[in-house]
Amino acid sequence: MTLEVKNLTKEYIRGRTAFRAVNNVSFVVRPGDFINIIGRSGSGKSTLVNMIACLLSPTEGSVEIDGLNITSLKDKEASVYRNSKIGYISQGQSTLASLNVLDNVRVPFHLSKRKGTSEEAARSLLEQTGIAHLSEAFPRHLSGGELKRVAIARALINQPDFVIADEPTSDLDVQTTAEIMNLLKNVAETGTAVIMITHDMEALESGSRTFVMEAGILTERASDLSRSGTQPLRCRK
Amino acid sequence: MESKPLTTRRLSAYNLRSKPFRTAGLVFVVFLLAFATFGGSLLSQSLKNGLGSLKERLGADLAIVPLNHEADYEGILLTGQPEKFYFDQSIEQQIEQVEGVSKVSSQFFISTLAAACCSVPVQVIGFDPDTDFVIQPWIGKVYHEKIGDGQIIAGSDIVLNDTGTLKFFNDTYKVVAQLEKTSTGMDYSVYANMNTIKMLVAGARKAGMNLSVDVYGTDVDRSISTVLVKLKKGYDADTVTTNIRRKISGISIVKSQNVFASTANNMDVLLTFINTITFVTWMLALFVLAVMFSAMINERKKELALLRSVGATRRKICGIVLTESFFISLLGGILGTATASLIIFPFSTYTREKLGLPYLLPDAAATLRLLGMSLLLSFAAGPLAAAYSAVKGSKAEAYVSIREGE
Repeated sequence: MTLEVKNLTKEYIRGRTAFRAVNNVSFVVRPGDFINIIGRSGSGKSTLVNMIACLLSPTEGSVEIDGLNITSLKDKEASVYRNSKIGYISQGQSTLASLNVLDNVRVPFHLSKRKGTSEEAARSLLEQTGIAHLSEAFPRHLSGGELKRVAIARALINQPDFVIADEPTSDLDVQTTAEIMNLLKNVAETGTAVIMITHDMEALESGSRTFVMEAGILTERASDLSRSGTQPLRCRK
Repeated sequence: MESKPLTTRRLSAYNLRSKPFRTAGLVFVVFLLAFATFGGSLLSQSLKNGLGSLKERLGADLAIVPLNHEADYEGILLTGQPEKFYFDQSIEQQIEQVEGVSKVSSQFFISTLAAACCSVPVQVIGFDPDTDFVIQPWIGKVYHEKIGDGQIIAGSDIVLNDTGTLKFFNDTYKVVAQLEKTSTGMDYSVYANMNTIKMLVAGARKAGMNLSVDVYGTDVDRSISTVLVKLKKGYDADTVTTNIRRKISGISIVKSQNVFASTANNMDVLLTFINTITFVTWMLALFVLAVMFSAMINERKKELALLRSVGATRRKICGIVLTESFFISLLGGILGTATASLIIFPFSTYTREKLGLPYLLPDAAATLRLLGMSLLLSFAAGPLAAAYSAVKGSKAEAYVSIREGE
């Protein structure tokens, strides 16, 4: 399953002036890709990935999955897409406080009509992320690293084609960062494409391609071009 | 054991459970709302019923009583406060001759101190079955024969013994029927024909009891307590009252419409107060709920956005919030109506005494209707108050909400 971002633009009005948080960005994501997006704060990285996750509407452009433009989907269809194709790991703490760890992981399974049960898959993911022993615990009792693992397990419960992670290692220590990166690397190795925003230069080692975002313009690092087999992306018209 | 599916209801329940203090606060607001709605409507309906019952039972257009005993007569009618007053029975014939009078019937009142039936004085009302047009129509609902000598009919609040008799001054009298509740003083009275009254007075004299009613100096054969008057068609109470006053002195005249009107006026004030309090409580509760839900949605922006980010539709988000509000309403509504019931039903006698107005609880069907209406309003209050916040919460841009929640 291929995801193609075409001329994606997001324009905001700041004061009385329009500015483009994301400016005419295009790139392609293939199965198994591990894409890192780096850039300074406010450069438009989060805006970009949230448009890909259908959490934000673009001003222009499209995101296509196997030719289907998902930015034009209605809420219900877009939600089904997010639920089944995307595993989303947001910035910071992203668990639901009222649910225990197991239920936090199970939630996405129950948001769309599905056959079967979610517990076995959820427990297996908790095992893989190393927090099986915390399945009955509530988020308030977990550390930052453990919470991030819950978010990763939750992102994988519906076996998505794409995992979008918005700074999954922020505020984590070096060792936990390495463990989280290892988890995401394993995910990519199973064929699920990972798109990750990071400020952590060590985390870049896990990626197969790296993009740099600057003032809304996305450029692929030259050293990665040979691996991706694509031309450098011209992000400005 | 396999975990249960995370349905909308379960997600809502888990969320309410995770914030017990907030949930209790919201439930309490609905509790107040339900309490006010059910309690207020029940109180209001009981007063209306009482007034209706009073109107139905007054029967006569005028009541002629000895001079300055109007208030005593009204007391017997409204609160059942036992009273005694007598005048000569020749007045009955004189009134019958007055222009505009259609029917007359006399009554004889005795009050007893501590008869076996009651721990408080009870009013005994003697009437003439041959001329009576006031009591018999509603006695006829429970007793279809002519009341005989030595027989009595008891008001609904008179406590009978196991043998269905009442003891007055050492003599036992058979209770042939007990009347339906009226919420007036008539519930505390017993009724008998004039022969039975004479037996009762004779029994009292024989027992040498110092009764609260001094019938010793009264010639029962020549005394009556009140003459009830039915007007001829085309005559109004004021005209006939003037006619009676012209012919007879030393009497007071009670107009039924005045008794009814003054009670209705008192009741109107109370009903307006009750209805206003109920309405204000309802609106206030709705407003407080709306504000609380709005604050709650604001506080949970990120949580709802996270649900959106993992695939919840806007409809699902709305559903979760509205289900939570419904659960709150359900709990608060049931608790509120149950508490109102526990206060109003067992203490209805006390309420009636304190109000000093006719007060008659509605029958089972009407009570169920009020209960249904109150529950419906309470159950709707939460979702109604939460609707705007739910829609607003579901429409928020998930990405922005997640960022704002950081």
